Amino acid sequence: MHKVGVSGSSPELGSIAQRSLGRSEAIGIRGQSSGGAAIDLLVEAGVVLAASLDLDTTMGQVARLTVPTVADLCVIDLRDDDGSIRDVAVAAELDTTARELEDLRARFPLDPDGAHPAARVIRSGQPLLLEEMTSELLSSFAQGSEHAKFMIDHHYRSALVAPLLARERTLGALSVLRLADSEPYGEHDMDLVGELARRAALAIDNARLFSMVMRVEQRLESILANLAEAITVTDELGRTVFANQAAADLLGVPSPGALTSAEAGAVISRFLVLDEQGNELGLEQMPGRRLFMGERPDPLLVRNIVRETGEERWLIVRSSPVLDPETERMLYAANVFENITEVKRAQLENTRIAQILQRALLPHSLPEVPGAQVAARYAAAGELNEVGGDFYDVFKHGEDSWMLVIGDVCGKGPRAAGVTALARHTLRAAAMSGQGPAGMLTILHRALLDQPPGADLCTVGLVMLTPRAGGARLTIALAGHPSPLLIDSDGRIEPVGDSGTLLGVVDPVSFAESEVELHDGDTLLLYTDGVSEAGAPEKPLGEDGLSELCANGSSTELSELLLHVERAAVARTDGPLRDDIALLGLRISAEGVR
Amino acid sequence: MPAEEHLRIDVRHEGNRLVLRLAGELDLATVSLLEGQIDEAGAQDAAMVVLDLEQLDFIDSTGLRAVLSAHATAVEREQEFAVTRGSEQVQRLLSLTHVAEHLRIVEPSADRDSS
Repeated sequence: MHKVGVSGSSPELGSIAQRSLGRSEAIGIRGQSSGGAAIDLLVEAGVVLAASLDLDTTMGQVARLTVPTVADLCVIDLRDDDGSIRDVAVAAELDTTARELEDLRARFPLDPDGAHPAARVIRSGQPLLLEEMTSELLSSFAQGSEHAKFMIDHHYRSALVAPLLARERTLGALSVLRLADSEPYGEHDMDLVGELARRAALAIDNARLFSMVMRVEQRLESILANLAEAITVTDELGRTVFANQAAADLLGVPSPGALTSAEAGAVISRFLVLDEQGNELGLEQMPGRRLFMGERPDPLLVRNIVRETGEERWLIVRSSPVLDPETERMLYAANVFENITEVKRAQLENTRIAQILQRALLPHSLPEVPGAQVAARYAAAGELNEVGGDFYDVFKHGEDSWMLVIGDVCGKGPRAAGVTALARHTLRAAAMSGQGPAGMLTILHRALLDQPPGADLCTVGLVMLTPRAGGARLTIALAGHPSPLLIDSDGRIEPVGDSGTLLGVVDPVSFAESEVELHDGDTLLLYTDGVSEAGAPEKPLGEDGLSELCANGSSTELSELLLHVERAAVARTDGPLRDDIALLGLRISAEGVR
Repeated sequence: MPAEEHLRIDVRHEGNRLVLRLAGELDLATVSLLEGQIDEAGAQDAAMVVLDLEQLDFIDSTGLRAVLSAHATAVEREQEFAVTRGSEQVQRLLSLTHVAEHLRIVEPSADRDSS
């Protein structure tokens, strides 16, 4: 094989043509005396080969280019993957001759292991020049007598067969033939034909690669196109270069084409895009854009509102970079949109129900207690859609007393909410029937025992307040509940009340009522174990820790004191709260005392 | 984190007594482990079930409920039920809630430090 240049630039093209022609002056390219003819041939071939990636069409055009300038007859044979040889193109001055040969080759395919020059060249990868072919030679490699007769009848005279080589593989052979009186080929023709064959081979190789890539792309596209999740691929300028039908449906356009033909940013402007908190998000905050800015964005939850219709969707947008395998430069962002509207709606509804329920379980405001201030703080542990098990209440008891209630139902969620409602309303009803704190606890205990089995245990602290000149008398009863802290006006702190049995499980129960006198400026703090056990098990706040927090309590505004304790308890917990926190505070204030 | 990392339950049969030694935390995250052990086939045949709470660092109201449920299950099975006095925090909760009065309290097994 003659080594020829790999570049198709014209000076080289010219020199190859020039060399061929220089040596072929004796025979020349028939009908042409100018060196331009060979250049024209290669240029034309270049145009043809570049124009189409359809193999059979291209090869037919290349074959026809050689007739009549270079050949009377031209055949291009390709080796298939299974090793068999098939002709893809035959060109002759007379179309009938070409068709006749095509028909013969179809009926008598070339034996890949046989003596036919095309088969030999395909095997060897080397060009073959047969300057003068005798009838005997023709008969020796004919595929049967009919083929031999054809070649002899058409006066096959001289042949030049060049291998179609690409990436060190022989893809086939390009055969040019001269018939009857035409000049036989010589060594000097081999460069030109070799170059033509090399170009044809590259075109074939490209076409094969292209069709392979197309097949892979088509497969990928059909996979992406049929995914239920919406997918878009965007480039650095924000243009959509690919979108599947699900994406078109999601973004409210009739077809993916409407997305890929839209200008950058044109589609997103149809939507109001908000984050979970309701803040508007710009295009540059989308994960795909942030990837191009070199960030590694987390999936983004967005609330997407169609401006025109007001339709609302919740989407999770995930983007990953598509890199150029060679340069590692980011070419595209692949964006997957997951529509979680249904899930989100259900979640929002659950949260709404939980909030309504929670509000129903706690007093919406605290009543005015004469001669005293009351304040409360509440923080539920867990998700927004979980109802806490702690509760508190303040209500009038009889003619001249007030009842302060704090409690903790074991567990969370709907079941705990049911028990909490039962506890709160049972206590109010018991109070209305004139029961004191211990009696109220006993009635609640009975009510809990009447519940279906399942150990709905509950702790409650009750404080009955009766205002009197300069202060108040407290009657305290506890059911498994931590003792309230009394912070006197001098800052001394002590737990008050006697412990009693928790409610709803063990029986019998016993409660003791204890009485405490409060004076002007004294403070009583009721709390649940979410406060005293905050930070447990590693570093529980404990009663001592809580007392320390209240050290300056008497000189602090009551609501400030509660907030201070709540914040300290929350801060003590690593991560989310493990248990609900409820705080109920009472302070005797002289100006209120009548 | 898996519940097992917060609560370990060592099960041993001492004659006809089943002793469950709890170590770690007994709360919402771990009560299912105790409930699982109470439901084990082996637990049903013992004449007495003992919960050893000496190594239990933390118990909350959910944990307390699980202990009381174990008590109720044992009563249904006509088994005796007892707990040890427990760690300081356990004692505090049992006494605050007066549950200690309703449970039989036993001394921990002599060999409890052998493991």
